[in-house]
Amino acid sequence: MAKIFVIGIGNEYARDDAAGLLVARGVKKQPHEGVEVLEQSGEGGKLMESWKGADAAIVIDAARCGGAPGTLHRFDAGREPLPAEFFRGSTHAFGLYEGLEVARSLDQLPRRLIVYVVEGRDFAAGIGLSAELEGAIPAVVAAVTREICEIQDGASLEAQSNTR
Amino acid sequence: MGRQILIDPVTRLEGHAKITLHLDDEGAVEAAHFHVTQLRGFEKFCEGRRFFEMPYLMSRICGICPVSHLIASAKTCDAILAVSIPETAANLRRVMNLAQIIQSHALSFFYLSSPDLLLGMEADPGERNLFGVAAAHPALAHDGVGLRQFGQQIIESLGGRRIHPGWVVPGGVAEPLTAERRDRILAGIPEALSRVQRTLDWFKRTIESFREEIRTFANFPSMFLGLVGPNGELETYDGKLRLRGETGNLIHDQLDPQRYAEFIGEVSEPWTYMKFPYYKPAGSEHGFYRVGPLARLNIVSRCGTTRADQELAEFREMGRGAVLSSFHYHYARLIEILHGIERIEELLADPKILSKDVRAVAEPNRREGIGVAEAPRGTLIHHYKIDDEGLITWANLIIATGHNNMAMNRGILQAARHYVSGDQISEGMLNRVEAVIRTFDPCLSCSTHAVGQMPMLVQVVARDGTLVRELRRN
Repeated sequence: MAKIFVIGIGNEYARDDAAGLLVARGVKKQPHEGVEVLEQSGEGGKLMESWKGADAAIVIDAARCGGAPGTLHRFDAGREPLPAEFFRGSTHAFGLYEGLEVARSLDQLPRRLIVYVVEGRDFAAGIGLSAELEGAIPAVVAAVTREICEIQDGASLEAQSNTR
Repeated sequence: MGRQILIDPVTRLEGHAKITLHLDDEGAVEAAHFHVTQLRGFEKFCEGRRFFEMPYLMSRICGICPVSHLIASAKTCDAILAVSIPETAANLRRVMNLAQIIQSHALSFFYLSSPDLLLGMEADPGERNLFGVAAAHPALAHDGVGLRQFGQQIIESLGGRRIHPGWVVPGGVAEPLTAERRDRILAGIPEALSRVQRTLDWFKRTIESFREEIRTFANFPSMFLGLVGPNGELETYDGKLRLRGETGNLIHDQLDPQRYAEFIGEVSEPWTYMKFPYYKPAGSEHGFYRVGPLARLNIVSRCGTTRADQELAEFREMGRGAVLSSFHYHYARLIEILHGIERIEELLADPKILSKDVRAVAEPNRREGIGVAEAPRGTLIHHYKIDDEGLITWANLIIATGHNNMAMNRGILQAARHYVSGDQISEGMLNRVEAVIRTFDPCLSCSTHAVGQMPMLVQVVARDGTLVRELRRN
């Protein structure tokens, strides 16, 4: 059984920035064997520590990248760098993008790392998602759940072929 | 025709700033200004809040050094309560402040400045970042990431979270330390010591290649200010203020921080939101001083821990009386990381650190309080007044980056005069001017509370306003 970390990142008090956290909570409602669900602020150093020991990690974040609010992007970040333009404007210069790329340079990435980015509209101070994001959350939860199943199925096929 | 060079915004700083270089008719730099262009104004909007909310509110000033604001603010509230907090509470706060200094110095040295030091001031800006360092020198990047994590993990172990922990409260701390958490911190100490020692050894081997930068990076006489312990040792949580001059001469010692307003004045300039504190007896023209790691190592009699004192002896060979080049802020940061790790080990070795007596409870007994601590970047002063209901009526903060404002402005002028001339403006020249500012590691979020980072724009503007040249970095 692969050990998978699902890491939702964001800030509950910056409206759509909370999307990653809400997706993590949605995933947690349906427990999966081998899966640990975490909520984080997105500080790069903490992320680098969080996925230590995981076979796979799925990270969910909200960002504003020019698309329609609610649009979901999926990146196979273990294979290729994230597009930097999605992650500009991090206040402290060391967020998801930086943590991920430094971890890549230092060979500290989990074997599989998938990043989901959902486009937000409103990142101002306040509680509650914009309507577009509210509506998009169930689909993101479903996508992450599918991803978990695929990783677990892949791991179990791999294990079977190794025992043959 | 005189012209102006604009570096806007300055990159790899906490916050948002720009630099303008004013050229004379021959193309030589005649003036330089470091502008801080945004204002959030915490002192104003906390008026009317309950005083005991202040530590948590003030910690929101900055995401890099929230612990320093938390601690200075809680000390201000202790003064309003007029309580002497339990010894264990003071030592736990001390551990957290040292952890904060370790993680912040690691961020400054490894993440923000090591690209200049390792890859060179002339390196391609696209590669002159931590990723470039990780590719060229993975062991150094590993140590940097590890040291920052060490500091952050201590903050998290004590306060429950690594950014904006609410654990430091008026009168002490909210919860005692458990043996399990203490042991977890202690277990990380040998590795942290190895990491900083390796980095110090590397830095000392490298320093020779920066002779020109050492000579021109804000290298001038000034006074130095900071807290010291009762025997003149390095002290970042409590203590009294000491001021030394350029030759190491003692100007003031064991000054009560409660009297800061008698000897620190502030002036404003129309072109920046950041004020200019100065030493009152010398006047605003000549009363400038530096704070932070370089200043602290210049003022102390000793660090007070074995390894850090050995390093301090070597460090002092860099100057006569006082080490004057701001380039050596980098060196001082590494020694302070070493001191912090050693001191944390000492503090945690005392069984009393697990005492359950960690908070004094009282009602407000004074209408006014002052709290002073050493933040990573230097002396941090919080000062509040309250009304009968305990509501804040007035607040004043003097932040480390502010103390260094005059020195930073003089420093960029010195470097710009040396490196920048006329039309031949290269990326490397301008990066050196920026790198001077980075030696001070200013936190503009703290000093004015600006947020955000943007690509850098360099403009050469004629006196009539026409754009002569533009250099853009993404």
